[in-house]
Amino acid sequence: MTLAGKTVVVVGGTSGVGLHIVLQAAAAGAKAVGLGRSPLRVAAAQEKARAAGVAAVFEQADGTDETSLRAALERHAPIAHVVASALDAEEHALGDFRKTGTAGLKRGMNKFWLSCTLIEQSDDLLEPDGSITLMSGSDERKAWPGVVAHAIVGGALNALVRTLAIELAPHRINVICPGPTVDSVNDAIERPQRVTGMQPWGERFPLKRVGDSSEVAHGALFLMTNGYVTGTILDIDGGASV
Amino acid sequence: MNPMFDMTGRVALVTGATRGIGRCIVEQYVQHGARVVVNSRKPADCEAVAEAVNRDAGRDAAWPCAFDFSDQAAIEDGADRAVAHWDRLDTLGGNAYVTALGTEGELDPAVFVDVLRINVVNNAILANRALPALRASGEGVVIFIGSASGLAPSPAVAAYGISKRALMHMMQNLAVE
Repeated sequence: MTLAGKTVVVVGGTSGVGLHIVLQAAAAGAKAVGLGRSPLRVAAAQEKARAAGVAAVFEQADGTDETSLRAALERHAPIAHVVASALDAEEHALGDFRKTGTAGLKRGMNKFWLSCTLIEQSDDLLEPDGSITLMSGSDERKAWPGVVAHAIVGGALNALVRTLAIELAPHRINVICPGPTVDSVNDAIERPQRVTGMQPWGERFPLKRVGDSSEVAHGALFLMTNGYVTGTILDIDGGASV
Repeated sequence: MNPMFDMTGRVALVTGATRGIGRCIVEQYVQHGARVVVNSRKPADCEAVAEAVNRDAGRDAAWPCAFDFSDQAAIEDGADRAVAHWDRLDTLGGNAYVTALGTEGELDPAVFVDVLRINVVNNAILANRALPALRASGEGVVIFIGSASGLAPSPAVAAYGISKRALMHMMQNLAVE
């Protein structure tokens, strides 16, 4: 399956992994659309795409609000592929259970509800051979202390995908479990510091490093373009889960 | 092409490469810029596939290298020849396998042993032999072809499924090592 001429919509597509997916899909000939909540990030993403020499569209839309999301999706229908790659730092509950408490875990689960909303709102706008790609995380595949919110949302997303692969067919649905990543496009200045800061984390994995956001995006393109893959949990984690 | 799919400069060895999935792997690797060592048991088949691939690619992209994947000495010699031809190896595509129909209870133990030996142990022999070249590559990759029958019980091909499950576990061990 080629992406040429196909519409790809990425929720959380104005920064991080999502932006890489938009840029890689656009470079592959897709009509790529990145949605994000922050107007600043939308403008910055447009600038990045121009600098990269690819034609991609970035729009302000709130993936947590079904009306806002639905309006954006309808503007671009019919859609070949949707991706949920949104993660808001404020909702990102780090820490062990005694610190996050139930409230922290509930905030962490926002990513799960956002993914569900995207699936629900795009269902009738997806082409028959369309696909849905979600992002969970390697913290679900192998337990570590201090990331319980990541682990539970990852577990919920992984379970969701296996069940929905059966229920939503012929639409395909898959989930990527990324390990910790840094972003070489958006954080070109910040990146060396982040790599240094995160390197001890990466040392625990077989590949002895953290990933790059572009490497996770590469997996998303594979999941979109291989028409025989559904219900798959794709680990892109330097071997963290092995 | 997405630059992350670009295999220009890489050399791959693909076993069981003259038909089915193996042949598709060869063709797509070459389309993405790689050079490929084409292996199966039969020299004539390897030569025919390499010739067809080179003709389509319009370059020296495929080299036939027949060896018998059921024989340890042949595997080691074949791996050495594969590495020597272009003086490097970046990707090992372990695709060759044998299968046997029947439930575990019906199997001749000798057949069962052969399936496990060829599908699991011989892939280990091949990977170990190729390892120095893959390490020298700096971006070495080993890819084994597993099977859905290694994920859930498949009584019709019991020995095959068991061997593929073992192969998938071996892959994880190798990843950590």
